[in-house]
Amino acid sequence: MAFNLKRFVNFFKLLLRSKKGFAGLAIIVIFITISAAAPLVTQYDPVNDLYISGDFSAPIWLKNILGAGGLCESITLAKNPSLMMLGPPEGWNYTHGKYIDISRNQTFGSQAGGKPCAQITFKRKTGEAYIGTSEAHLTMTLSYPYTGAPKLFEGNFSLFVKGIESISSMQLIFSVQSQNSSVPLPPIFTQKISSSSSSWMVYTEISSYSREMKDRFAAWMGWGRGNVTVDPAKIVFKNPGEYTVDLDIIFEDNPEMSGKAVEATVYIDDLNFRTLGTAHGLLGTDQWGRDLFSQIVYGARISLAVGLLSAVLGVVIGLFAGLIAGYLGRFVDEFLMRFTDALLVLPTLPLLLVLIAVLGPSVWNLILLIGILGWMGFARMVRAQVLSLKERPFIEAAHAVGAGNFYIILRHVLPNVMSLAYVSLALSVPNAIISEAALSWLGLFDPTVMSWGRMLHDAEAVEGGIDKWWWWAPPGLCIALISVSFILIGYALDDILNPRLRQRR
Amino acid sequence: MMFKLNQTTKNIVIVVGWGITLASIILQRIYQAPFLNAQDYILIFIFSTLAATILADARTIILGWAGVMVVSIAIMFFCLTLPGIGGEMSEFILGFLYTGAITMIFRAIFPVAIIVEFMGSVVGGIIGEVALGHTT
Repeated sequence: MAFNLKRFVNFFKLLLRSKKGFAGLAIIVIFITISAAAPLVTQYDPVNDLYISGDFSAPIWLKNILGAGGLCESITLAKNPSLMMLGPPEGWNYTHGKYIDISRNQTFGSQAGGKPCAQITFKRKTGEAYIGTSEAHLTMTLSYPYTGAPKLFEGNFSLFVKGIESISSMQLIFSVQSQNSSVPLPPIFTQKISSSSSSWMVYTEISSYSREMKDRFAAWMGWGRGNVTVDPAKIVFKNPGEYTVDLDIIFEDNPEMSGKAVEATVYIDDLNFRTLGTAHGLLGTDQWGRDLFSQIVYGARISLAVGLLSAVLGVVIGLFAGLIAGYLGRFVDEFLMRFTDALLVLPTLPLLLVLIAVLGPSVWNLILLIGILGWMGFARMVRAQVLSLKERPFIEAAHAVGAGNFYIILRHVLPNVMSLAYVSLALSVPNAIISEAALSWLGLFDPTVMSWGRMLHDAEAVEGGIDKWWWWAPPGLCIALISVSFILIGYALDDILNPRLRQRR
Repeated sequence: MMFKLNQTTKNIVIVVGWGITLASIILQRIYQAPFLNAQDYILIFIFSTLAATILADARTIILGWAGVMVVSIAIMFFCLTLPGIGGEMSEFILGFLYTGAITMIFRAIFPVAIIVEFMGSVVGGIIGEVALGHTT
């Protein structure tokens, strides 16, 4: 055991002494470290975290270092439950009219038992007269420092209205207005409720991409409905400066209930509002607003796993096929070698495409198929070596003392061909990585994981993706770099293990 | 009266039995779900190891492994297309049946079952050599 460990350490030292081996190992160690520490390196899920910024966002350093104008980062104005903590320090301020009370409700809403929600109550007692309308205003100031408009703004909130039958109607208006502009913008959301039912609940999503909002802004600009070129984000966030976010609740009193007791309550919960920028992170975002840097980091896991496991599988199959064919000879050799020939003449990539289409594009299927279609060349190499080895005296001696075929193969032949296996393993990994990337690029990727090939596929498949060099260049470079690193290690191993090359040194 | 079989006939019987066992394990899964699970692979490994232990000779095991694939695929195809063989069916339905059977067999055995069977054969061969002391 200690002897084997010492041998391994010496072998490793030899590998590190080689410039090629050192460079290759250094690159692989960097990639393995990054992929292993992926959750620490990046906080985003590469597949499921959608719209963390605007779609097709550029890298942030384009703005900060190269000074690309018009780029902006995402800003989260309200993230549940900031609205519910009325007043400073969250920055939500409020004013209200007669008969209105604003408070926090600790037990109501979807966050019941957790964070409170905002409760706005219109309450008129018996004997108090009809007042027309009464309003509550919740406001917050947003600082928008960028010259360029965001890609879009979006938000959502839950609304629950109770006792609406006792008043005429309740209207909710959500608007964002620049403090530097005197021209009032249209609201980004309005909802009027005049229901006869006692309670009313709605979950609302707001997006500057929505048809409804585009129509409202088109009408405000004097254009017709259905004008898709209208971009509310560009209209609202036209200039840098201070902006006021305003949430107005307007209660319209019922004249028929004048002098009688009236009570209507509005609960607002789960309020989120944010602008999605045009610049994000180290590498920007893809067409779904997913972080590209996370995709590179997590993609390293898939490429390394597929590359290493496929190569190991291919080498193990090739090793056994070569050992058995070479040592047993006769019809076993014929059968295995003709089968190898049959697989060798089949074009690998089209065959992989067909097999993946039949079996399904999961990562494990990719590993198995790339491994199973990558052993033939190595098997022939091992067979040739075994044919030479089996004529050696030590094999004949083992046979003469009664050793079985499997015993001789495993005990005497296998150790003598292992040096071939190490070199072949190192040189097979780039093939496997490139095969995986090629299949993914052709669209046969596992949809649940992100790989470098899939990134290339996305960049190529999406209109305008090719123009975004920060999208396709990093995965391409990573594939090239990791392939080169394994090839360097393969050459270094060849230098160490091949006696002829060793003598030359 | 006792039958005395020669070695070749014994080997053929073992390989056919091995093939029937493999086909049975895969077929019972195909009739229930499209893919084999860990339990099926363990069974395949155990039976392959057992068969190879009895065969013991390395050449016979490797050729037997290939023979088993042929036997088991033939049995599976026969069972899956039995309705087409026994009943009156149009060309279209028959084509559909045959294609479906081939696809199901392929999905079930390729590639894991083949690899597991091969690994079982090799392990069985080693056990056969060590335990039974069989050498050639």
